[in-house]
Amino acid sequence: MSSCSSGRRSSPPMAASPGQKRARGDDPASPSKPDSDSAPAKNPRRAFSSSPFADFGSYMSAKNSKLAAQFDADAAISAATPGGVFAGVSIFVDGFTIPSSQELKEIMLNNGGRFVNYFSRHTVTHIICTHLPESKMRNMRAFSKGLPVVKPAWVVDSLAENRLLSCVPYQISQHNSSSRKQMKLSAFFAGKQKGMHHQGDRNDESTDPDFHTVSAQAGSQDQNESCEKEGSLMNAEVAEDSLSSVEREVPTSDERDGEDFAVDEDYSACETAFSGSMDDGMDDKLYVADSPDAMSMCPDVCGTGSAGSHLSLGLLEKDAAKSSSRSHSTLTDPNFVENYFKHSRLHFIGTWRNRYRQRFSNLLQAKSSKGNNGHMEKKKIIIHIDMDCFFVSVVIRNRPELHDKPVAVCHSDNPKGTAEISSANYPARDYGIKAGMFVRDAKTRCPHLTVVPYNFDAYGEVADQFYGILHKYCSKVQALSCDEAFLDMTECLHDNPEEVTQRMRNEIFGTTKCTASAGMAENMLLARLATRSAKPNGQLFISSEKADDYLNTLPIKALPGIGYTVSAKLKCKEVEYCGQLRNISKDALQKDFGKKISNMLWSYCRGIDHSVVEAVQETKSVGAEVNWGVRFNENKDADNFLVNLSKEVSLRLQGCGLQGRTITLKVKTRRKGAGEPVKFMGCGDCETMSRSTTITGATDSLVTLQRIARQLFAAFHVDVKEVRGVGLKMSKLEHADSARGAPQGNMLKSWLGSSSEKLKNQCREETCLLGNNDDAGTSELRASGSSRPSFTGVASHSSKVNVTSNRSTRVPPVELPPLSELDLEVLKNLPPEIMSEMNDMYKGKLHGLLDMTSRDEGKENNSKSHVLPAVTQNSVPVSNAKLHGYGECRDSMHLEKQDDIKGASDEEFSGVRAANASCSRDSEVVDAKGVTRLDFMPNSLSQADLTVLQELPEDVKADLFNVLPLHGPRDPTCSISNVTENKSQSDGGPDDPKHPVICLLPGWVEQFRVSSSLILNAIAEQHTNSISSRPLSSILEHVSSLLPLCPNSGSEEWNNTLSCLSELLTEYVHLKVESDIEELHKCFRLLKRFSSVSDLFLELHDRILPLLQDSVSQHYGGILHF
Amino acid sequence: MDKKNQTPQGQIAQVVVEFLEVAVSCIVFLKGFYPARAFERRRYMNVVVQKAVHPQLVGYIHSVTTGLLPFIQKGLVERVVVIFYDKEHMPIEKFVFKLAVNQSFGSKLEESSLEFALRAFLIKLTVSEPLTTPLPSDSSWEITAYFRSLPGVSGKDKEDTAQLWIPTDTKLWMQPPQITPIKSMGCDPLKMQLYLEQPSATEPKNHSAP
Repeated sequence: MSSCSSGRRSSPPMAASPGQKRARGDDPASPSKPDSDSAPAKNPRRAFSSSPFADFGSYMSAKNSKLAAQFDADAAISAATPGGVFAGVSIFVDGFTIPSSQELKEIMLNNGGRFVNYFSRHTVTHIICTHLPESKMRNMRAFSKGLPVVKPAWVVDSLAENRLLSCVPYQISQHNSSSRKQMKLSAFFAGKQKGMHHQGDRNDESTDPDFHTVSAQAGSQDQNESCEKEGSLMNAEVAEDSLSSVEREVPTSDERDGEDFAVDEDYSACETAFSGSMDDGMDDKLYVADSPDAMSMCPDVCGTGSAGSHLSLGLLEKDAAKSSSRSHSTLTDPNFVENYFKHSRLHFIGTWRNRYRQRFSNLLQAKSSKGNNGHMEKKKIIIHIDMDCFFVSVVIRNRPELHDKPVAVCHSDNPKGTAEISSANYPARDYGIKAGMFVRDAKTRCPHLTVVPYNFDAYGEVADQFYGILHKYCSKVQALSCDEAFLDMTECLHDNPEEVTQRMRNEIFGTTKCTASAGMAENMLLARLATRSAKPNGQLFISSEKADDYLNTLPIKALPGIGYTVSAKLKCKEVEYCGQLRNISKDALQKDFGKKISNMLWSYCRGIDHSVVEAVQETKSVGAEVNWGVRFNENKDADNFLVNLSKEVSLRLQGCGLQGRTITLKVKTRRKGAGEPVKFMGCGDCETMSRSTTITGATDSLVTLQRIARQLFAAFHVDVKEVRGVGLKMSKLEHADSARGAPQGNMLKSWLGSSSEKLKNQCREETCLLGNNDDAGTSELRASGSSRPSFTGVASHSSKVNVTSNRSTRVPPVELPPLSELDLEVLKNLPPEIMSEMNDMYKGKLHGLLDMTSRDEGKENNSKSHVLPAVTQNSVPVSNAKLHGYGECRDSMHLEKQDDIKGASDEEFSGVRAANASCSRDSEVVDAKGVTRLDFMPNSLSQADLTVLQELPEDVKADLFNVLPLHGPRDPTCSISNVTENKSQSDGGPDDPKHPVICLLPGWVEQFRVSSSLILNAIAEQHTNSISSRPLSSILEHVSSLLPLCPNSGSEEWNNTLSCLSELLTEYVHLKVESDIEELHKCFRLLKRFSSVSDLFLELHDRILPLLQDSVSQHYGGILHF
Repeated sequence: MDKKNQTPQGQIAQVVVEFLEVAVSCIVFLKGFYPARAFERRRYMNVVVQKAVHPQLVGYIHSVTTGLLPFIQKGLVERVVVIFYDKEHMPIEKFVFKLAVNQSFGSKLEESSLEFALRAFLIKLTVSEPLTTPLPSDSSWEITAYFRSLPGVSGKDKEDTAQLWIPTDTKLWMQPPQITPIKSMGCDPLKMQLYLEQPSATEPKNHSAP
């Protein structure tokens, strides 16, 4: 690119008149020729003018030449050696830099370089600048004219090294900046930083551990659940998983050759190493890494050399710690959707693309900037490369003993199973085993078939290696799948394509131990067909001359895009080969197949394909669909499933940095009369319905997705028992970046313009940042370390985001709603003119959220500082503080008050409760009683075994019914109806006009009563005591005295209680949000008060609050103030 | 006001309008917008309330609320908002009455139960002063009604009342406001919620910006 030589110095420097620039901007021939420098003199415009400065252009050229002369003079004085460090370098400084442009000029002067005051494509070799505005970033090429745009550090570092360094690492690229920006935002989403770091391997790693550890856990979970799998095999898989996760930590190096893992050689060793907790496993590893044995254990760690392994070991420790803390939640809360996708091959393939895009985005970017140069005249060479039975060969790559045996990949190895084989190797294919076949069928065909489970980590790893190699050979790679790609070698090819392909395949085999086949041709169609013929482990070059012959004998079915229907139709006409198809005219085809397919057929059978290898394909939609194992018994199950599905989709959206506006829900229901499907838990014969809705503002928010998914699902009015599959999809995608782009731009401005209150907050946050740099913070900093100079400008901003992420990771389980969501939700309710002012809105939200989190933490520390800045709403924080105090010291006052309330209610309902034993003024006594009794006696018959009851003697029965608080002495035979009656009693009463505000959620009392959780039982008891016709808040009020009953965090009881309560509250929010926010406000104030004493309620509060605020903002256009 | 409305909706609207008149007076008093001597103590639904004495003020509140009557009756009014502005006519606080009159309510209205429920609003309102923000100097206030759809000019008889209403030029907050509920009721023919809207803490302070 650098076209200037030092010889240029003596020649008159050329002018850079604007007109001239335009005229020759893209003339590639001129820059290197010295005589082109005199071109301005021949400028016709100039020839007309008699005076030296007749126009601007001539003035500028004169000025430039004078400046150059001055520079030369200075250079002569400074007596630079002609062969200085910067010989041949000519820089143009754009904007503010450190060191300043003057200093840079000095450096250039002293070291043989040139410094140009006015930019010209032809005199400048490097553009120096620290940062660029958005517009220039976007049109990088237009701005730089193809010259390298580097940071000033390049000059400084080159000087320090006393040699001209490569400017590549210092280049400001479009990609860098955009990903940096994205990271700032994404760092906000606690724990969801997946996919946000595009910057390179290091960042990739920081996200990977989540993925790996979770999958390892899932593996072990599965072990418990499925009896189909052999324990030892699973163990080995877990071990392997963790091993490969170890490997992932190690920066990818070329030293990593095809050496075996220890896994296959030494199962038992691995098992012991990993049988303990993840932490222990890691420790062992750290320990053995020093001993020679370790070499065989994990060659990769050692392979990278001491420095590398140091780093990676450090990382390991960190990750291990992380994983152990994580395991709690994942293990204790088994989750179908998550596990489903964790074990789904299709899911792996589907999401693999994102991963690929992130990993290779650097390369993709670089390529796309070069892509337009277009060597059209050159003959195109397309290579299609495809791994041979990828899913099998990856798994068995380290088990050579299996290589020539029939092997298939499948979830389950049960010989009677209806699990489908997803891939079979060539020996297995010889037995007629195909993908999609049930295991039992395969086993009948080939009894000694080895069935191996998936190993998704290995797939990911091999795919990465595979693409790493492809990108090394070619810059234009279109990824079709994790194991299949098109390469446009037209520009990259220097010698015989067959040789290059052979080398490429050899390298793939060397690195991955898996074979690949390749086809070469001049278009994508033929290349793909060639690969098919070349398989397995071969390659084929179909030159344009041979193409006709090849196609003549090719069955039509082999053409891509030709399915069963079309080929069957053609077969009816006795057309089976492409050669025959060629005899049919286009019009005749069109009659039978319609325009699109006929066109395709016509050109395909002639080997014509105009499609172009495209590296980046825009994502059109993001979604998740589950069609296996979907069985619901009640609405609750479906609801729960929808929640999880939304979670998955939301995570995926965030992973791609996208937001969508259209939400489509697809539901498969059993077709009437269709029996249970042949395939175990399969979807069978189904009817598919779908419904979609479009919202105003793009979103990736979990809460919004959940809400809309629920609405859509409810609109189907299907019997949940008939549902066999559900899919949720987001389309009309926008980049999360662009959706929030505007707010970002104004961040700094609004920050500067904001009040002192904000400044104060800012300061506090910044000190926070300095104080506690935990993992997230430091890694963040490290990531942006390379752009240190520019960091100063945005310091306030990014540090703030860092803090947020730190905070939110520290506040234990808070599921903060993605910031965007709140905005966009609100957007819906805003008139369009306000939309343009989203900027401030975003900023504000960020702040509000910050306030909230900080308020949640350290109440004592912050409450003071909160009251001070919040002058505008003075009274509210005070009352808040009061609340805290109130909640924290549950003193006698509090109890008294409660007694009063209780007393009042007692009086009110004394008549009804006469029979109730627990009627007392002293709430403590009530509780004590309640608790003790709970241990012995079920509160209602629903808990008692009816068969047992019936066997009891009459007198015992009578006694029993007297004791049971809910049942008078009645005939036990009608106990069932009693229960139902009771239920309707307790839930009934919405008709009562005096108490219109009633919990009318059916059955929750029963559910609470029978649950194993003490506090739930007690709440149910409270509810019955208060004769049920009261709002939830009044029940919650009494809960404060029951708080000691809260189960310990982490226990199963805790989880049950939490899920029960959150379900109740969620329903309650939906029920009340339209009509009674006062009640909801009250409930949440109570919850908040409890949360200062009880972790359970803290979790509950934090879990439901986003939903509440979301629904409130939907209905009222604002958020509730607490 | 004195004409006999036969439908329950008419009755409800009557009660609501009356209630609104009282409630708006109470709010204005509560905010201390006018000196306390501009009000006098009265009893309404057996609650002590404040009634304005200045004829113009009384006239304004009365005309606005009665002007709403036909629209409330038809269920057209979604919200009645008492807005307090600062000197740049930027809202600093809104008292929102969110209304929903059940149009299909057919049975006879129990006026007493309705009054019983509405009384709770007045009681709650008198003690909700601490929730509000103090008014700056040079503030102003107005009553705004939000319609579900624009009042049509269809009915000849409504024409005069419809024309009393002018489109509001109320500036909007850039941030979703903070909502503090004061009172809600969900009695069948009438659903009413009173809540406070205040600009969120992060609402930009310089309103001069476009």
